[in-house]
This record gives sequence, structure tokens and C-alpha cells, in this order.
Amino acid sequence: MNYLKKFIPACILAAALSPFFYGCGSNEGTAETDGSDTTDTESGGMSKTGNKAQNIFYSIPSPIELAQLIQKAGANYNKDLLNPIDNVNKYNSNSAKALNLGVYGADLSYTSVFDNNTQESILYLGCTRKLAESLGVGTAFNEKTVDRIQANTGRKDSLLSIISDSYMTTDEMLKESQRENASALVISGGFVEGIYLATQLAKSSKNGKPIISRIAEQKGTLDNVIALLGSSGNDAAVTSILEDLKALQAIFSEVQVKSESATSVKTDEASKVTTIGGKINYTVSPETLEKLTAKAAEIRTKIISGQN
Amino acid sequence: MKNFLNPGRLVVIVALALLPSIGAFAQCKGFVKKQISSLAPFIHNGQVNSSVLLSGDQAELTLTFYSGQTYRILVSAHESLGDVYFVMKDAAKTQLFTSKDMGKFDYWDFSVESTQQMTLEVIVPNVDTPSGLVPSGCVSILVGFKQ
Repeated sequence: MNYLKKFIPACILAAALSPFFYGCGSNEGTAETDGSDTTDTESGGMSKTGNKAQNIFYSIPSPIELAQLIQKAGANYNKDLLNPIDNVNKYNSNSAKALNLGVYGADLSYTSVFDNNTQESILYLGCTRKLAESLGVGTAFNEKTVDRIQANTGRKDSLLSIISDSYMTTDEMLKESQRENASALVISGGFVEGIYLATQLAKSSKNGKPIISRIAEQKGTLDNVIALLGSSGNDAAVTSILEDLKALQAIFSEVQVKSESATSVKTDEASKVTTIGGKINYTVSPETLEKLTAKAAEIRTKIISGQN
Repeated sequence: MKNFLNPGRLVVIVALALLPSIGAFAQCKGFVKKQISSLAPFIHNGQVNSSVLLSGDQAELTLTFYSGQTYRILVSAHESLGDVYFVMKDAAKTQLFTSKDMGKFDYWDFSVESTQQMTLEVIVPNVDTPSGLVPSGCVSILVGFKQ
């Protein structure tokens, strides 16, 4: 009875403090809420006292997807464009490791999509594995992953699926350990490397037009990357890459996006696949493309030199 | 007050205060992984979008979808949340598709003729329970693609 007399005030104080713990993390997640007040109960339900929560996720297409698109657009494989594997040893800060985990992830996607040489992919897997381990998420790229890749030599879809699994595990582990800023840096590094590779490949391609269209289409994705970083805390590394990406966004604002026909929606009864019709044109001038190419290279150089 | 806040009691107070957030993470831990197999043969985009929602809550995801690809959207939720449904809207916020009134609807496959940003809204219906408690549970949104 005496114990209960002491315990009840403790519970009341805990309940009073609980919202402050939520408040500390409210802006750090990928999902933002409007601050609904909720209290957990023994049954797993919650009593609700505030407004409805609006969770916002900022999602980015996978680097694998962009690699596939630029390959289909006629780009060639050029391993000289990739971040050299020896660079992996110069990343000391957690932010440099996270950004370059994204860079090497995009390079791994590129080698896996373009090149049937699994050994090259395994070299880049080694870099991602090293950085993931030092960020404490090494199980995402462990020995089992290497074995699975080797066992699936020549099966491109399986290889891409294994890489995707590893990135999902990394993202999940970072988010579960409340490191949304690291997760956002990994995604940002991958995005920058993807844009860098696409712009460089467009330069060297005989018919760069289809690749240039794919570059112009990155305008909306860049907006999402910036929103993701903006919701991921304000540490120095996040602020730094955010400034760089905003400079890139200013150039992307010159890309013209024009809807040329009304949207239509049709579902194929047999395949159950819905097609969303409507023509949207992306136009980028040679001058803007030149500026995008230079800015992407500048940001990428900063990232791979480990300055973040 | 000094006696009340002795170190032992402080640990109990902090632990009790953290319980709701620990419960929230526990509800989503492992939930997303269980859903991934339903994305096959699509390759997922490597990002985890999940959150603990309450009855009446909404979640929103904006993403670029490319022409030349086919996508699978997989929305999964704990059963306690009832018939969670989703609405896909284009950049002008025009509704393109909804799974509302379609019963148990696991995934939606689609393609776009032109690359565009679209927004997926996930809506948890309001559920009245005899106890008055608002149900909570994990909701995940997975996106898969294939050429």
C-alpha cells in the first residue's frame, strides 16, 4: 500500500513528461506529424486528445531504377566514372560515411545494371559493406549478401533484388535506431551520384537526347530529397548538403514542365494494370544542362572527397 | 521533492515516460519485412515508409513515377485499424484511383505514360470501439518497380 502511494505520483509525473520525449523527436523522422496528443494503454489502443496526425513520407526512386532508365535510354558503361574503391578508406566522419554509402550504392546499382561482370559488383559491394559496418548497420551487407550475389551470377533481376533488400535493411536499421538524418544522407548521396552519372553519360553519348529527358525528370525527385533532408534534423552535414542541393534546385527550376493533354485512367481487365495517360513534356536547354552537369560534378566531388 | 526524485525513482519515471514510444516502434518492427514478399516480382525501392497510426489518421507519400516502368503500390496495416484505404492523386491533386470500397485490397499495379510526381494518401477509417479507446497499429507503404 505504501508502495502504491509512491508509485501513483511517479506514474502521473511520467505521463506529464511523456509528451516532451515525443516532442524531442518530432522533427527528426521521415514521417512528420502535426503533434497529435496520444497516450498508450495496456490494450495497445490509444486515447486521443488532439488533432488527427498527418504523416508525410518523402520517397525517392531507387538508384537502380535510374540506372535502368538511362541504360534503356542508350547510355554505355564507363567504370572510370565511378567513385574509386580506394576512396572508401578516407571517410572518417559518420556523415561522410553515410553520404558515400549512398554514392557507392548508386555505383553498385550502375555496375549491376550495366555490367554482367559480377566481380565488379562485388568490389563495390565491399565498399558499401565497409561503410555500412562502420555505421553500425553491417548486417545489411554481410557475407550472406556476397554469397547470394555470387550464387546469382548472370541473373540480373535476382542481383538487383538482393541489392535492394540490402538497402531496405540499411534504411530500416537507421530509422529504427532513430538515425533519420543518416538515412537521408545515404539517400542524398545516392541521388547525387545518379545525377552525376546520368549527366556525364549524356555528354559522352552519341544520342544524348533520351538520357537528357531522364535527367530533366529528376526535377521533382530533387524537391523530395530536399524536403526529406529538411525534415531530418539540422546537423552540420545535413545543412551543408541541403545548401548544395538547393543550388542544384535553382538550376533545375529552369527545366520547363508542361502538361500537353488531359489525364486519363484506364485499367486492363486481364492484367489488372492501370495506365495513367496524359502527355507531360520536360524541356531543358543546352545551357541549363551544362549548368546542371557542372553543379552535379561539383557537389559529387565534395562528397567523394570526404569534405562533409 | 528531493526525496521524491531519488535516482531509482527517476529511472522508473523516465522508463514509464518512454513506454509509449517504445510501444510504437515495437508495433512497426518487423512488420514491413513481412510484407515485402507481396511485392514480387517487382523490385522494391529500398526505402521503408512506415508509421504507427491511429484510427482517423492519414499518411501521405509523394514520389516520382517514370514512364516506361510498371509500379506496384503495397499498403499494409494492422487489422485493428479496419479497412485502411488509399487514394492516388496527380500533381494537380486530381484523384486518379482509390481502393475505398474495394474490400481487402493488397496492392495496385500501374504505369504512367509520362513521368510525373504523384501523391498517395493512406486513410485510416474512424473506428468506434465499445471501450472508447482509439485503435492504433502500424501502416506501411512499399513501392516496387519493374521494366
